Order: sequence, then structure tokens, then C-alpha cells
Amino acid sequence: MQAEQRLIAIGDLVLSDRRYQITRPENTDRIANAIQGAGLINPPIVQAGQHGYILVAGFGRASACLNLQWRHIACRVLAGTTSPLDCLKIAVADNALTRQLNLAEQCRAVAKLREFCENARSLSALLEPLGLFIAPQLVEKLYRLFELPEDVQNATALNHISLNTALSLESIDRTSAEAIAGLFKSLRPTVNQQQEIFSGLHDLARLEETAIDRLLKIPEFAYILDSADLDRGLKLQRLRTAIRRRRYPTLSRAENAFHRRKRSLQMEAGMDLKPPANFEDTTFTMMMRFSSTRQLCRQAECLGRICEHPDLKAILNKEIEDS
Amino acid sequence: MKIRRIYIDADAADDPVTEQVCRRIGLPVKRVNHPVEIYQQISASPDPEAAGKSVLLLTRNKGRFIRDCPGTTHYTCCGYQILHVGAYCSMDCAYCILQAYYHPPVLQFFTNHDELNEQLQSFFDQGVVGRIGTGEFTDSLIWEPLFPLAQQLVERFSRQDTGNLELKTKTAAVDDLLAISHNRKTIMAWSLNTQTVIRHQERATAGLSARIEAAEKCQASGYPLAFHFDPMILYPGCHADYEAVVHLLFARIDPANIVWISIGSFRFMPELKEVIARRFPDSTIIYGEFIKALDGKMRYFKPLRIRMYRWLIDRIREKAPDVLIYFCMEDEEIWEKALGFTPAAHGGLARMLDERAASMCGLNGRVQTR
Ligand code: SF4
Repeated sequence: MQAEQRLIAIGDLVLSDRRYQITRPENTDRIANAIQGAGLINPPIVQAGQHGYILVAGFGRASACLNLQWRHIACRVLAGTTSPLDCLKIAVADNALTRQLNLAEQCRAVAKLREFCENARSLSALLEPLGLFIAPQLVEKLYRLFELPEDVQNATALNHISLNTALSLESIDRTSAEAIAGLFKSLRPTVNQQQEIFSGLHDLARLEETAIDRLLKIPEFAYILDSADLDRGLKLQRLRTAIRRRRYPTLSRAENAFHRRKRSLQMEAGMDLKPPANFEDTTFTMMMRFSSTRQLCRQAECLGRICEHPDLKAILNKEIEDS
Repeated sequence: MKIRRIYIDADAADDPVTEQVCRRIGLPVKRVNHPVEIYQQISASPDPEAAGKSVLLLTRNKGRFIRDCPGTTHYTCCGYQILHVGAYCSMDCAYCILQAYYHPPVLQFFTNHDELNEQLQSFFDQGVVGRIGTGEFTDSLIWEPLFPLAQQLVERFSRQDTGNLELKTKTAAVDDLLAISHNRKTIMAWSLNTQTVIRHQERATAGLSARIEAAEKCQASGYPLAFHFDPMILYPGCHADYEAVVHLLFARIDPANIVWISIGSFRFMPELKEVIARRFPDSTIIYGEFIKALDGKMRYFKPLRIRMYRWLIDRIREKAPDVLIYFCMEDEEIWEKALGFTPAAHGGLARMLDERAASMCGLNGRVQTR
């Protein structure tokens, strides 16, 4: 890297030019504190452009100095002949060699370098000496992630959405993808729950000819999401139930009817009745767990009684009341 | 058929059928030593399922021409046998299982008709009543513009009296079959669905009226008929639409000429969902209330199936009280709740259908207990 250290008027930095930006510093106060304490140890890297100096690396440091109301800042100025590809490599290495880049940063690095590489494999190979190890398959996924709204990229970087769930958001509109990112950020579902919630909402939106962001605003869901009385766990649980009830209304009614009738059988402790999966088969399972003959006798007596119970007949007939 | 290119498998190059097909279509032909190169080309296309419909591979059937219907565990199969004359289809139904059945799907027509004829002869020689059809891995009538196979089969079946042929189609292309002496050994069958389903989910198929008109022509030519309400699809307003189909059907077709009517609902292997979502983005059929059934396929939640079947059966019974109705791939609970009996009470579904075929088509073979 050919660079010359110079003191530059901070107003000459074109901070709005983000062509080489890999990171999105959220908290410049922390950087500002460090600079105040120890000085600017690692000056930003810039290149002279038409309207001032373009930042190549050190966006956080430059912003922190600006916030500290510095008039001038020491920078390493790259030779004007440094190619855009080399600038990008410097940008990646400057970050990746000092710390682990999060997924959103990796995503930006990959997206910016994409045009210089023939395929994912060569891009992966280009990144390796810069301190960024990304397998070609992941490179492909990151290309796709970069096309998604920034909220989704950030939620993925923060692990609020799994990468695979994030990529499934490609199939929906951007506003809905952002709504899902926000939902997962606040409810923190597990990966399986993310898939379940997303596919439930996606299918419902298709069926009801609406968009997911609008669907989330219907009273049935909004009531749960906006509730001040429910904690995160309860909201998540109720939302999943509400989505399922709306997506599978008849099956949900059948399950409710089953549980209501099962309760009315008033089975002895240790007894349980299980329906066939999805009520498709005809075989129900009665379980009896006991630890004494007395308990078994009580259960046997109960069994005799429930065999005559009209609700057992209704259970076996899989009767569902009409909605 | 919008075939753009014909490939000939080296093994099939000298078959007379190959020569006849090529002469009829008059398209560029390429000989291949192994179809794998075609498969690779089709798989690389952005829509392989559509690409497979524009290429015809003439090849030999290296397996058996006559096979048992694959059926599925836990559900009652009708014991039909498949005459495997070709694969895939030039029409394009959203729900078509063939899209996910072959990897990738390619139109294939088998050319070793010498072996087909030998196997058919053995089938007839068994002296056992058998129902056989060509409409499982393809549509029975799409091949006629390329090769008059259905015509030859109708003629062939007319000269024996143990088996019946069922030609199942969504086309209306029956004109070439009307004058053939069929001796009632061929059942002409149509898949029926509502106008809405046909319009939105069955691309390039004949319309409902055209299908029924074709059935009417076959009726006039003395063919026994069959109809398949399969796959029934639930959507708002579907009941009235299915009722309209029943009305239209019985306004033109005499129930006495109907050998059977089968009913089944939309079911699919889970992997088909992605294909339908990709290829038919406006279709919402995969978003119904489906559960994973006992055979791993997605089926409508059972009470929904029962309700829809009961309703359709009542409508059919109003018009045709005596017509034989059966379910395609349903279990005894469905039979009992929707039809009021199980096939077991009649010796099993296969036997019920064999007996019906024997009486309606004049078959003299033994009816087997299966
Ligand atoms: S007509 Fe039958 S074989 Fe052809 S695409 Fe439709 S479902 Fe598939």
C-alpha cells in the first residue's frame, strides 16, 4: 500500500461517499472516548477524489473526530493510482485483520467485491489473504442477503434472524421483509420458530391476498404484539398460536374440541388420551401410568366409565362443531 | 404439442415407431448415445419443468410396459394397472405430480412397441379381468398427433375380452377414435374440474365444455365412459362450481353409460410445493389446510375431505343414483363416512371395479380376489 500521512481539514473528507464502507459504526462515542484517551493511533485511510477525500477505511474514527469537533485529522492518503479493487481490499483488510466482521459487514464486503470476481470461488480466494474466510457457498448466500433490506441484513448480523430464514424473505416484498425483521428482533424466536412463523404468515398472506406487513396489523395479531401486559415469551407463544389458528382453522377447531371433550372425561391421574397425528389415522392412544394396584384399579374403573361417555364417542368420531 | 426438438436415443434409432414419429413431426432430430446430456441441458434451464415439455425423447422402455399402479401405503388403491407408453405431458397443470416425479421431467415416447404388444398379449392370455390404462405417467391422448397409439390400442383391446383399456385425458381430441371398432373394451375417461380450476390451474388443457362434448361424441360412438373428479380443490365458492360441473355433465351424458366416477382431492409430495410456488406464482392451491398424511403426502385435513366428498356425492347421486363412485387413494374411514360403506364389504375395491368393468365392457375373464 502506497500511502502518505497528511493532516487534512476534516471538512475535506467526503463522509457521504460510502463506496468503500464495510462497517456501519453504530456507537461513535466509544471510539471518540478511546481517541480522547489515547489519541488517533490508527489514522483513517483516504484517497483524493474530485470533491475532497474519499474514505477508504476508518469511517468510525473519522465520524468520532468530527463529533469531537476536530478541525483537522491525520490520514493516510493513498496514491491516486490505487485502483478501486485495491481500495476495497484495503477497506476489508483494515477491518478484518483486527476483528471478526459480523454477517452484515461480510455481506457488504462480498457485495462490493463481487464485480471484480468471476465467481463465488474466486471471491472467496480473494478474501482469504485479507483476513476474511468465507466459503464459496456462503459467498453465494451473502450476495443474496445483500439484496435484502438493510434491516434484514442487520437483524441477521445480530443473530435475530438465521441466514436461511433471512434468505426466505427474498420471496416477499421489502416492506414485509422489514416487518419480519422487526418482529424477530423484538420476539427473538428460535430458528425453528422463525421458519414456522414466516411460513405461516407467508401462506396466510398469499391466501388472503395481502402483504405480511399488513397482515401483522390485523387486530388478531396486533392485539398481541401491541400488548403492554405480555412479556416477550408470552407474545411469541400467543402469536404462534394465533397464526396457526388462522392458517389451520378447522384443524385448530378439531384440536380444541378434542381437548375440551378430553377434559370432560375426567380421567384419573396417570391416564392420558392422545389423538392420531393431525386426526388422519383412526387409532387413538390411551396411556395409563400407575405405581400401585390401587391406582390401576381406579384407572380401570375410570376406563369403564369413559367407554360409555358420549364425549369419547364424539372424540373417536372426530366430530367438530361448525364454526 | 409445442415440441421444438426431437432426440433419439441410439437404442431406439432403428425402431419403426421412431421413423414414423420423425416423419410426422418433421422437426430437427438429434441422436444421443445417452439421454443424460438432455437431462443436463433441461436441468440447467430456469424452468426445467417447462423446458422438458419442449423436447421429445424417443427411447425404448427399458422396464416393463405393464406395471401395477404404485399406490401408496395406508390408502386404498383401485388395483389399476399402468400401460407405460410414455412419460410426462405437453399440457401444464399446476398440481401435476409429474413435475416432481421425474428429475428432470422430459417428454418421452417409447418406441419398442414389439415388446409392448408381447406384454399385452401375456396380459390378455392370463384370462383374468384386468383394468389397464395409459393415463398415469402421461395423458392418454396427447401422443396421437405423433403416433396413433391410442387408436391401435383401442383396436387391439377390441379383439379380446379379458381386459379393458381406460384412456384418461384432459384433451378433447377424440375424433380419430370415433370410427374405430372398440367393442366396448375401451373406457373413455375424462378428468373433470371446475371452470375456475381449469382456467387457473390447468394450462393448455381442453375446457370443461369441450371435454364433456368429447365425451358425448364417444357416448354416441358407443364407448363406455368414466369421469374423475380428481383433484378436487377447495376454494371459496368451489361447492357451487362443482355442482355446476355435475349439472353440465349429466345434461349431456347418460349415467347408464358411465362405468365409474372416481373422486380424489388435491394431494402432493412436499417437494411439489416449491415447484408450484415457482412455476405458478398466482396459484394459491398449495396454501389450503393441508396436513402431512400417513403416506408422507400433504392432504387436506380429513374432515374437510369428508365434507367435500359427501357434498359432491350427494350432487352426483341426485342425477345418477346408481353410478359406481369410488375414491382414489382414501382410507376406510373416508369411505365409511362419505359413501356409507367400505370396499372390504364388497370384496375390496379392485374386485368392485373389476366386476363393474366386466359387466359394462362385456369381459369374460375371471374376477380375481386381490
Ligand atoms: S394433464 Fe395430467 S399429466 Fe398432463 S400436466 Fe395435467 S395432470 Fe399432468
